[in-house]
Amino acid sequence: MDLNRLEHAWDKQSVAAPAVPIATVIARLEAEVRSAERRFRGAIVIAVSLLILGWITAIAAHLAGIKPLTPLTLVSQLIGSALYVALFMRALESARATRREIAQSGGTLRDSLAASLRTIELQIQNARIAAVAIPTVVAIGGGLFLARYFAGEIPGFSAALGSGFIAVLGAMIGAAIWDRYRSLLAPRRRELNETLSGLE
Amino acid sequence: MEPAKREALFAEAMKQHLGIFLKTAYAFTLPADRDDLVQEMLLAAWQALPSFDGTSKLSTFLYRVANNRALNWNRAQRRYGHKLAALEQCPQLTLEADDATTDNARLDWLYALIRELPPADRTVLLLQLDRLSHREIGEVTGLTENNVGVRLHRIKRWLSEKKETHHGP
Repeated sequence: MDLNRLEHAWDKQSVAAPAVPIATVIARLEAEVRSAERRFRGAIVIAVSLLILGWITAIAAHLAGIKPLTPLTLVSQLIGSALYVALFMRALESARATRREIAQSGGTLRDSLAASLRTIELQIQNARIAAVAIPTVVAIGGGLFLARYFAGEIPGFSAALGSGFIAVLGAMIGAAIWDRYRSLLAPRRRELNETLSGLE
Repeated sequence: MEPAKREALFAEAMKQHLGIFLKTAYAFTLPADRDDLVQEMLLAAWQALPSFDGTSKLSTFLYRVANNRALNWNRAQRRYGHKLAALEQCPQLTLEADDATTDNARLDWLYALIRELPPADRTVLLLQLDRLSHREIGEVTGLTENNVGVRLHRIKRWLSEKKETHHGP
């Protein structure tokens, strides 16, 4: 087999397409893009709302005398909010990188693949941060429940239930992140590195 | 970029360069995934068009988008899996042999052969088969002209070791 024979066969092919309704295709693509933007904005609104709602609930419960904000609950609320905001900002940056990467897919293959690799590296970095942050949050959360129990703010059953809930939630999130890392991020990083080295 | 210009460029891409998307999809995926990859490429082209500044040819830009999406396919498949349903109503696009001397079985064999190559070499061969110059292949891939020449020489040597095994008419 030589290249000339391949080129000859290559030239004898054509696109078999019914009349493509371009306006319809554009309308559908636009709908896809708008839908993705709506999902992106929706996720931001939900995340910010949850944070605000958490504080409103805590303050309202304090003012109504249902659940007073003691120094310990205030510290736990502040730590939780700080971690939430930090992880939210990382997720936002990762989502922005993905959007930038798609918008720049008209660059040379080497540049575009390098951008894809940067996005993957960022997501892997997020997974690593989560691997440290999740056990830390579980430990702090459990510690705070324990501290509130010893301060006489909550009964032992509530402390155990609260700590258990945080531990189970942390384990579930950690497992999901580990699965994404193992089945998607690590193989993609390897593939992209191989392809990029093939372009050197 | 003005919406009208973007739409005009996309219409040009669909009318004159649809083959770029199809040939790339055939070279990078098995039949079951082709439609999804073509749709993915169309979506990427639409999203990337505002960054097209006209310094290169539209076809060069589309070769970049198509190959970029093809090389990112596994990941993109997961990312956009839920979105593609909205594009399912588009007419099915295929590549077909023009005459009796090149039957569809031969085309399938050719694409299977191309898929044996590493991804970067696959792209270079595809661009060569579409008669792009070494400079243009460099513009798409980011390789130097020299590197393109060396790579094509290696691909030709690899091809010379392959026997045509399809069973056409």
